[in-house]
Formats: sequence, C-alpha cells, structure tokens
Amino acid sequence: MNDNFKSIIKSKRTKVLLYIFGVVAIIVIALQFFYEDGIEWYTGVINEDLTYDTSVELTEGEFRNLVNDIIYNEKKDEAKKVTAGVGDELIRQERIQILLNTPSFRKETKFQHIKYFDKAGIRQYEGPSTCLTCHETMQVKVPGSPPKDVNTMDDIINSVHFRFHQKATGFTTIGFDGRQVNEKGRKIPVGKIDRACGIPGSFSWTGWAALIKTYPESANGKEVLRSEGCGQCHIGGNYHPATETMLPDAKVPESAEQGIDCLICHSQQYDFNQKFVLKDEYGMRWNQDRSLRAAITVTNPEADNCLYCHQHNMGGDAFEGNKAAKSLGHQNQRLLHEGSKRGNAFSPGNDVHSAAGMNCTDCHRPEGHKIPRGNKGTDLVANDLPGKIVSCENCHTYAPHISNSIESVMLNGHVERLACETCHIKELEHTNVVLRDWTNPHWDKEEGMYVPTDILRSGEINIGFTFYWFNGNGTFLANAIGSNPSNDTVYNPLMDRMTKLGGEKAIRSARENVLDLLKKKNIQVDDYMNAFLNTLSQLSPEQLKRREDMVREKILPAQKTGESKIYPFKLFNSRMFEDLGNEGPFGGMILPFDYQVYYETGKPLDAVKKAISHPIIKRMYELPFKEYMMDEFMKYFGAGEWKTEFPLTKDGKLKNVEARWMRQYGTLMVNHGISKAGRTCTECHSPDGIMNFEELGYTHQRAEELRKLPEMKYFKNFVTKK
Amino acid sequence: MKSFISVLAMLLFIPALTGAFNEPDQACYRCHGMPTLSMKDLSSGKIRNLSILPKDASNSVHKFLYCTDCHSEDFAEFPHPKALYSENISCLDCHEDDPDTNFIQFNKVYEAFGKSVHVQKLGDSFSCFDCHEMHSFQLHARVSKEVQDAVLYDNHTCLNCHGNEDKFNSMTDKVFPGLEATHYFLPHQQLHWKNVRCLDCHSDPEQPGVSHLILPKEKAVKNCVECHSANSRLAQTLYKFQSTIDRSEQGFVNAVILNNSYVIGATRNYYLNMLSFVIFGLMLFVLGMHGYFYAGAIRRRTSSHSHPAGKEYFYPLWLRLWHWINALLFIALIISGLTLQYARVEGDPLIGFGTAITIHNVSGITLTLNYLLFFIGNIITGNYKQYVPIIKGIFERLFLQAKFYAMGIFKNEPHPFETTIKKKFNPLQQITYLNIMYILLPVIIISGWGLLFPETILDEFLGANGLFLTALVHTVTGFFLSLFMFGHIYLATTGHTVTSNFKAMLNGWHEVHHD
Repeated sequence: MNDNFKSIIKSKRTKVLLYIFGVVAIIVIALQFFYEDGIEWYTGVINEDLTYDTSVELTEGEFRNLVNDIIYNEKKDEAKKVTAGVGDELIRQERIQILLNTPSFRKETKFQHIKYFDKAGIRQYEGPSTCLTCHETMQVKVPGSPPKDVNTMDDIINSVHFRFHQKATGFTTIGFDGRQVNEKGRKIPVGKIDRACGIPGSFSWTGWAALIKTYPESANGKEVLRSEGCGQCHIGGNYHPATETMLPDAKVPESAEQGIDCLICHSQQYDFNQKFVLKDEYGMRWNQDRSLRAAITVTNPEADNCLYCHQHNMGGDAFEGNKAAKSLGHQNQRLLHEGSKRGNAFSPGNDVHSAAGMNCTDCHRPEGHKIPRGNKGTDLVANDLPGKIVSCENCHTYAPHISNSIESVMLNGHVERLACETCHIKELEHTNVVLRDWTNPHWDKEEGMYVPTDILRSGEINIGFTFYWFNGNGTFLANAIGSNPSNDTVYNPLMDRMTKLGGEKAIRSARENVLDLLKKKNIQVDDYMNAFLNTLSQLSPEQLKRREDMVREKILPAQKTGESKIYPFKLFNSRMFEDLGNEGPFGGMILPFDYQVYYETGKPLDAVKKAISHPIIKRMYELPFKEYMMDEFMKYFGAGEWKTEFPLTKDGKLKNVEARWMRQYGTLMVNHGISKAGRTCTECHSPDGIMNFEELGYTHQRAEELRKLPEMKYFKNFVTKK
Repeated sequence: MKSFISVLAMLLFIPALTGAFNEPDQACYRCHGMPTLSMKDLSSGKIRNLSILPKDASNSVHKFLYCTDCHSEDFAEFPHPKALYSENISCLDCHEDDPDTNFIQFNKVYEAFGKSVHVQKLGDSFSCFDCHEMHSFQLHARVSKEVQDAVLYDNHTCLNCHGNEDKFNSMTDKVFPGLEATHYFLPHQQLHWKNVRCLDCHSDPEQPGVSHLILPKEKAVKNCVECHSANSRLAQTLYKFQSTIDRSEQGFVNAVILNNSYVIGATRNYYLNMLSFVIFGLMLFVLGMHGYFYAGAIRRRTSSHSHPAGKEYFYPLWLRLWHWINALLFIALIISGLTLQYARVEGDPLIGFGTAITIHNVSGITLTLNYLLFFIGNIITGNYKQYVPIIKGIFERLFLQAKFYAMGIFKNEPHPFETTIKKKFNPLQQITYLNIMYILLPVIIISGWGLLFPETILDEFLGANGLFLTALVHTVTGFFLSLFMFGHIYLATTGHTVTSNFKAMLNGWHEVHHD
C-alpha cells in the first residue's frame, strides 16, 4: 500500500497536476489581493483613503454650543413666521425673544438626530461609517408588499445616484438598430457615466474634477483657481466615478464606500461652500462638508437638497433662484455656466408644485435609495425603478380640469392627445442653450477663461423648444419617438424636422451670433451655418441613403408602438470633434475635452488629445472593451461595430478627427416649471397658431380644420384663470 | 338656432372621423368622441366620463338610434343650454309601450328593480344608469351562442362597482369587501366566476327575463346542490334562454351538454343513467345466481379439500399495502363519485356535496400516488411480468378458464391453471387485471386530473365540448371500475376455500394444495 502510494506521488502525471494546481491557486490568491490594483492599473483610476478637513471632532463644550445654535436659529425662523403680522419691528424683535425663551416653543425640533447623536456620544462625523452605526440596515416600503430590510450601503451603491449607469433593462431608449437598449441579449453598462454628450462636452472620467487657472477682469491680472467637473454632483467623493461597478463582477473598494456623501442629500444645513475641487498627493477630487453641524441636521431629503444639484440642469446656474450658485466655495470657487440644459426651473416663482411647498419625492416616490425617474424619457439615463410611473395623472387623474365648466370638460377631452406639459409649460428660461459650439471657444473677459460659444439660446416656443409626438421612448441620441395616432403615414421627423433649425427668428438670431464669432476665425459663414440649418448636409449620399433605410426599417415601427401624445421638447445641437473612424448615419463617436486644457488655452484640439490619452479611453479602444460593450454600443448607435483604431498617433497627431454638428437635433423632455394657467385655445387653434399641424403629420386638410374650428367662436373668449 | 345651423353647415365639410356612426350624430361626436372628455363631480369626487366611443356604440342594441332620439333635440345647439343638464331620461320613456321590446317586460323589470337591494339601500338616486351604459348596451343572455360570453358581459356590469374599490367608495360608506374574501366558501372561485353570472346566485330566479331583483347578500345561494343537481337552479337563470334556443335548433338532446359548460351533478343523461342501472342490476343478478349455486358446491365439498400441503410467499408487503390502499380509495371514490353524479337539493344521497368534492379530490390524488407506487414497484421488482400475457393459444386458455367459472366450479373441479409464484394469475384474471391496471386506471386518473384543472382540457374535440367529453369518459370508466370491484370481491371467494384468497392477500402466504 505504502509503495503504491509513493509511486503515485512520484509519477509524472501527478507532478504535472500539482504544478497546474499550484499555478491556479497562486492566480486566484493574487486576484483576491491585487484585484483592486489590477483595476486601477487597467483603467487608470485611483482609489485611496479619503480624508476631509471638515471632519472635526468637537469637544463637549463645542457640541453643546452647536446644538444650541442650531435650535436657536431654527426657532428664530419659526418665531419670525409666527410674528409676521406684527407691524413695529422693535416690538416684533421683543416678541421673538420672548418666544425663544418659552420652553414649549423650544421643545420640538425637526432635527431628531440631535438627541440621537447626543445619546450615542457622537462628536465627529467620519463619513458613512458614522451613519451606518445605527443605519446599517433600513426598511424599504414597496407599495403592495410588506416592508423589507435592506443593507443600506448596498442600496446606495446600487442606485443611480452612485453608479450613474445600469447594466439591466429598464431604459426608455431604442437604439438606431431598432432594439430597445439592454432589453434582450447582452446587457452593457450605459448611462450618464459613459454617455458622450455635447452639453457638458466631456466624459465623466475625463471631466471629473479639474482646477482651472482663470484670469478674470475683476482680479486685475491675478490668477484665480476655479473648480469644475462632473464629480460635484456625484455622491461619492472619489477620484473617479463608480468605475468598478461598470466592470463585470467588480466590487466597490472600501475607500470609495467611505467616500460617499450621505449629507448632501440629507442635511438641511450643508455648507455648499465646501464643494470645491481639492488637489492632494494622489490626484484631484471634490471636497465635502463633513462637519458635525451638517451631520446633525439630517432629515428626509427636501426639495432644496435635490435642487442643489438638479437646478443646474433645470433652471440653470444663471437662474436667480439657484441656491447652489450663491455658495460657490470658500476657495477654488465652482464655475458657473451661463447656458442652461433644460431651462425649466423648479422654484416657487416658476412652478406651481414648488409654490405649494411640495418635495421632489412627492412625485418621484423613492423605495429606499431607489428613486424613480418615470417611464418616459428621451435621454439615455439609468433608472432605479423603471416600472414605476411618475406622471401627472397619478394625482390629477385623467380629468384634471375641475372648474366644472364647458371649457374644463373640453380641456379634459384634450388629455388623450396632449400631454399636460404641452399647455402648462409656456416658455423656458432665456438661457436655454439650443446651439453650442465647443470647437470654437471664445475668451470670456468676466470669467477670465475660454468658454464654448453658444450660437443660440432661447426659451421661446418653436425656437428653444417645440412639439413632437412621443410614446415614451427616445432614440440613442435623445430624439423623441412617437407617431400621429390619426394618420401614421407621413410623420418622419428623423428625416425631416429634427434635422433642421426651424423658424426665421431662430435663424436670424443664430446668424447674428455666428457672424460675431466668426469675425475672429477664418470660416465660411454659409458653410458653417448650413451644417446646423440642415444637419443632413453633413452626410455623404451613401450615408444618407443608409439613414433613410434604417429609419424606415427600424425607427418607424418603434414610432408606432404604445400610445403617443404631443409633448414639448427642448431642442439641442452641439458642434464637437468626432472620431470619424466610428461613424454611422446618425453620428460619430464624440470625443471629450480635457477641461483644464480647454478652458485655459482655448485650443480645443489640444484638449481632445489630452482627454483621450486618459487610460480608460485608451482601454475603450482595445479588444476587451470592444467585446465587453463597445460593439453593442455601436450597434445601438447605428454604426455597426466598434473600430479600435485609436484616433491619436504615436507622434501626437489626431487621426480622422473632424468637427461635426449632430446629424439631428436632440429633443429633451421638459416636465417642470409648470404654470398654473395653461395655454389658451387660440394659441394653437388659430391661423397663426404655435402648433404646426402639418409638421406633426396631419394632412393639410385636417390641419386647416384644426386651425379654423367653428367651436372657436365660443372658446376664443376663454381666458384661463391666473 | 342660428348657431346650430352654422355649426351644422360647417360640419358638412368635414368627413366622418371613422364613418362608424350615423350622419346627424357627427356633430355630437366632434366632442363626445374624445375618449377623455369628462368632468369631475367635486361633491361626490366621481369622474363622469362624457365620451361615447363609436366602436362601442356600433355594437349596441341602440345603434340605430340617433343621439337626439333619446336626448333632447335642443342639445344640437352649442353651447348646450344649461337647463338641459338636468334632463331626466328613463328607459320606460321609450320601452314602456314599445311592441318590439315587449318580450323584455320592462314594467316587470322596473318593478323588480325597485325591490332590489340597491334601491332599498341607496334610495331613489340609484337608477338604471348606475349599472347600465346605454350607448354600448348589448343583449347577451338571450342571444349569445357561448354561455361564457353572456357571463363575462353580465358580470362586467356588476364588477364595475363591486370589483372597483374607487367606484364602490364613491357610492357608499361601507368598507369595500374583497370578492375572494367574501366568497371564501366557494371552491374553484375563478372557474365559477367564468361560468356563472353573479345574478345566478344573487337574484330571485322567479322573475321574468333577466332578473333585476337583486337580493341582499344574506339571501344569496350558498348551497352547492342548488345548482349542482338534476333540478338545477341554472335552468331557471343562466340557461333559461340557452336551452330554449338550442333545443329548437338542435332538436331534443340535452342541449346544455353541447354547450361550453359542464356542471357536476346537473349535467346528466337520462338514458346513460338508465343503462348504467340496468347493467349494474344485471351484474348483481348474475353474481347472485352464481353465488347461490357456488354456495351449494361448497357445501358438497369433502373434508380432505381444505388441507394445505405447504405455503409459498406470494405477495410482498409493498404489494399488499398497495392493494388494500387501492381498495379503500376505490370505495371512497365510488361513494363520493355517486354523490356528485346524483346530487339533489333535498336529502343528500350518502354524503354532502361539498364533502364529496373534497373526498373525491383527495382520494383521486392519493390514488394517483398509489398507482405510481404500483407502476414503479412493478418495474423494480419485476412483478410486471405477471401482467404480460402469452399470446400463443390465449383464446383456448381463456375459454378453458371461463368454462371453469361457468360450469366446473359448481362441480368442485380443480382450477384448470395452477397458481405458482411465477404465474399468480389465471388467464382470465391476467387479461382483466391488465386492462384494469394498465388501461382503465390510467384513463380515469388522467381524466380525473383534467377535471381538477379544467383549463388543461381542449375546448372542443370532434365537435363536442371537451370538458363534457372528459367528464363522460371519467364517469363511464368509473362505472366499469365499480363493476369490476364487485366482480373482483365476489371472485376472490373462489380460492381454495372461501377465505383463503383474503388471508393470502393479508399475510402474503398462499397455501399450496395438491389435489
């Protein structure tokens, strides 16, 4: 027996097996230890422990002072409201003082965590670990099911606010190849994190956190550092976006988890001046407010919490009600952007629901940290709860006009054809950007840096935004998909209206700005303008034919699914540099700009070169990423497969990269900034109405009928109540 | 009037939107054809939808009417005069003296409606229109070919409120009851609701036409056998018109059978039932006669007859367990099966209908498991070989055995085929058991599962209703299995002594005799 055993061990086969086993074991163990490092090497991202100067331990005395201060100020605001009717200011102050000394008035505070922190002896906010001391798990209420317990950290990491993408189904986007994104077959990670867009001009990796040297007029030649980057709205404080979650089976490192900013959504006294880019020995990242003051004043998120980030893309930075714009930073102040993305502000003066004191979460009802976006949208954005409907009808039913008059009944009849937004969003902010040229920056004296040139900004109907049929889905490049229910043969916006800039006024405005810009450059005005007046002129005849075929075969069927209504859409187009090696009939791969190079030098091509030298962009152009996601991505893009020819040669020259406007205007949904009074009947039902019925697919005869309705004799006098 | 003319004039230029409605109504449909045309009644919180969809109206019994045939002609004026909003239309306005609709007997319907629980509890504000939508109204109970269409349509009328929590809450302060909860006692709820109308249990069947006398819930039918019996309530309600139509079209057959329905206990065929009694009676008679003469033969046996020469272990434990479990299940199934087939309202035969359903289902499922035990056990132990007949010379052997049972047994002749461990069955037994175990039992088991899950049955087979055919196969096979059981028990007494086979099946040992 013994001899037999020995001979087995000594045999060659056994030795080979043992060697193989040993090698495999070493690889597996190495992976466990070096996985994170491996990812960092591969993608070029950094993960280090994050420390924040704002996280300070308070002494007992400091703690007491803080608590008293918070309660005092809270109560003072309350007392002010209570004494609002008192005429004489001095008497009012006296009354306020008396109230502040009244025990029952002081007792109730909405900041419940004051007593929790006190009891638990918490004197320093160290980040998520502090919250997780008590909130390791949380109860999530899902309507229609009993509440369930989830791990809080997992809940957040798997939410769009952290990840900015998802690999699952649930996108309202139809690729140009006719398939709904991630519906069948291979699912790829897509979302804002890897979506190239001409509004920010950069990618989330290449535009994460940057410090720009500016020389504003007001500083008289001195250098002023400004912060810029996608990371300012990300709830993780890391040096890069949630890269790990994009890769297959990747785990978020501990340091990234501890970098999550719970307070930015939950705190009612978050100091936004702490949000600036700081440079440490490892790289650049965004600072956070980790003071105990911010930590102890946490509640469920209120409207302002969301708006600190989201007002930027709604009302815009220049909107006077934008609160974040009032606290730009103690140092390295954040850049403000004059043009706005959607141009519809959520604020008491602008929106009835805001004026009613409603919170964002009243309509976007969360389940744990998962917040629903609604099941309609044109841009490629991940959605935590894709099935959950966020719509006016949830509260207002399909008979929302309730003044019990003939007009109300008739308006209710329109609900089948028109979205509520069509009549109740009458204009956008004048800062709404329609045309943005990144390839021709100009020097902004006030800011002291180069900025992209906005050729056209407008909040007017039919210039800044217009009407399209919409069934809830958008194309891969944010174009509204829908069809005319009564006549579905002629409506083909992707070959028609979405490829043109409409309206004489718009064209005139644009032309003025173009002439202004091109005084300094050496460009043919007409050629330049033609590209965005008629975007299809940028396509070769073969590309045009291919586009026609694809639209007819893949998009038109998608247009006829579901139920379509007329919605208002904000229009947008931008001029970016594209990698024409990866081009299809709907566009080419947009290349990002490195913010620092762009803003400081005003040389966009140099900015592109720097940006695409980022390791992760290089990886995008290599085989593993091609297989993993880029091929699918390109299929949705309508361009077949991904070509891995890197657009930068070894001697630093860009290859096959040219400037292009998008081949069709992007149409983004606008849903906020709802006015109490909607449009009147004659705004559309009149010979010079704002709704171009023919362009919406109605026959000329029907369009004429709609413009000359006999009922208007009665309804023309109807004026909506203010 | 002027505006009316101008409106009408303008409209002559407009082609009909869908062409699905009558010309003069076009003007109305300009607005009332918008599906969301509605107003919210703020005092009640109800949304009143004012639209009429042409596709609904075009299928209705009222489709030949113009809007202004029922509604005031003054509505042709836009804006509508406010006084018209309180117009009060009643069905009787047209139907009281309409010879074409006399068969509905509107007066009696209205009277019954007045006595119904809705009017009693909710008062005069409850009108015809709270249940019936006039524009899309269709007659189903009288004219539907398929009973289930009538059921679906009629139930929709009730479920509009009773299945809709919001609507229910807008009419009464009572708590909205969940339908499944209130009908907890009803087995196969979904099946019932697909095949029977709410009305059939919740209304007074003595009313003419479709009964509008809705009874309070305390008076609703809860006793299964009211419907599941020969004198089924359904003949007065759901099948009141169906049977009349079918009988006249298809002649004198139990027309309900050829419809898409099978009601346990109510669907019966008089002739099949008679035939089964006759056959059963005949069998009892034959067995009785045979037994009389066999008893005589036993008396004439000599004392040496009953000495055993040894024992052989014939029946392993698993086989005996299977056999007796089978026997018990057969008895349970036969008793419960008969109860279901012959259910009646007064005096349940044998056991209650509801109990019979439970016993039959449970026993059936257990029988399936037992059968599987037998089937698998047979294969594993090789016992299946007992069932394999040798084809060569089979008829001669069968004849020989039959001759024994018919004549030889009365003369105390020895059995022509000796039972050995390898051949436990005589040829007649073998053929019979083969048929029973491998044909009849699978058939009855499979058809039984089909009846337990009727959604799995084909809707139609060779022109006849699939459900009915399955039930027919099941009952007939059951009948033959019951016949078998009686014959089997009797023939068990033909062992060496009257009790020797019973003893052997209990303890497993077969006594060997050498004479």
